[in-house]
Amino acid sequence: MSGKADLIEAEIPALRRYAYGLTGNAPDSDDLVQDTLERALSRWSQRKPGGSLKAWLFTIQHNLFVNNYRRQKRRGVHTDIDGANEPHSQAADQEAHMELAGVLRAVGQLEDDRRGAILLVAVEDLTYQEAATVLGVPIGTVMSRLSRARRDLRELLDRKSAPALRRVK
Amino acid sequence: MTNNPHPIGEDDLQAFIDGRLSDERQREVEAYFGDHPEQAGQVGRDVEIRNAMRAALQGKAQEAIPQKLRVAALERRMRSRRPAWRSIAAGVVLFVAGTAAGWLVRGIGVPDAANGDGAVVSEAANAHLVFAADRNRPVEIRADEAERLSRWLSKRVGLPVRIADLTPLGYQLLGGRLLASEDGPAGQLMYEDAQKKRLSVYMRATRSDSTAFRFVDADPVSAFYWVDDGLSYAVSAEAGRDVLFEAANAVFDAAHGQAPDG
Repeated sequence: MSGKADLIEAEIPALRRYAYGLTGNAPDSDDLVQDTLERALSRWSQRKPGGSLKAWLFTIQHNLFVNNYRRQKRRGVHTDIDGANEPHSQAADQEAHMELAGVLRAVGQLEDDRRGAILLVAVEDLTYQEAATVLGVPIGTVMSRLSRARRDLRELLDRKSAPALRRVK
Repeated sequence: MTNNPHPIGEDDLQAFIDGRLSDERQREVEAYFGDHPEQAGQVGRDVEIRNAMRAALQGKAQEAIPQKLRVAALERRMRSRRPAWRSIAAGVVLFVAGTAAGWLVRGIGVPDAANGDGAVVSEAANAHLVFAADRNRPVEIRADEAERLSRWLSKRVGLPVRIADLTPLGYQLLGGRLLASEDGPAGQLMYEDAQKKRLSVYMRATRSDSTAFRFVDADPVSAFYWVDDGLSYAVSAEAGRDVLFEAANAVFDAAHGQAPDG
């Protein structure tokens, strides 16, 4: 059984990152990961033989998020940002830190569908096909969500009226 | 591709940002940017934002895994939940009183909508009534070929079917058979006690989530039923709740490869 534990635990860091990107706060994201892992363990025998474990786990997690979490709309990226990163004590890091905080806040403002697509592809490095499987949509839909997510992020981050989200050279 | 260049599309731009183009296509897109400075600027910004997203979330993946998310801890907690609901099962299981005629009709009196897979109990009870009454041929494969029986049922049902030892409860395995249900192949194991009273264990695959034990008390056949790890179970007999409860526990434990629980 330790094989199963090793296989699953190897994916936990990425599942936590994806959950954090989706929910925007640490308590929700770890609850989501815990639900995901429990469901995966109770359905371990139902995996498709030869299928990607990573895609299977991400699919479970994404579906749980869609069904259970997204209605809560409890997002707290801006208050929680320090918890997600190395401490930035040096003043020179401040500006970069603001940029990172701004990016996460902007990610939190994306539509759920677009946020899922861009996190899976740009952060989790899933292939477009894997992302399509996880999201349960055709690959063309992944591509258009991705394109829209990027356009939205550009607009959110580069808006002149949002000095905290100002672009860093 | 060199001989057959095709126009740069939005998909190419996305794949460029994600670094997923072939070297050749990469060069074509870069050449395209030479003629389209505004798009080149947007894509450059997209790459910056992508890098910032990765950097902002990187810390989360580098954190040590919290103890409560370790597989061993999760499994311990999942296990410890089971005895908890089992020990209070006597208090919380649903009693669906009625006549056999009433509850054998699919759906009537069986609380399947809210939770799990209630249809299985009607199927199981029908199958129990038919084959428990059959003195000559209650099973297709006899108990002396238990291993083959287990393999065969597992293969047909599509999930591991483990055969519980109910001799501590006074039931000997007679054997098993394959049945058709609306939801695919189902396995039935038939047991018999010293008074020739029979008890059957019915199993088939389900998409429902795992549930606690539920109890249906009816005349003449009563049953415990539940869903666990993709299989829907029903243990049916013309017997009291206590006996059925013990049998259900033994079936549950066998499915988890455990000796009766501690």
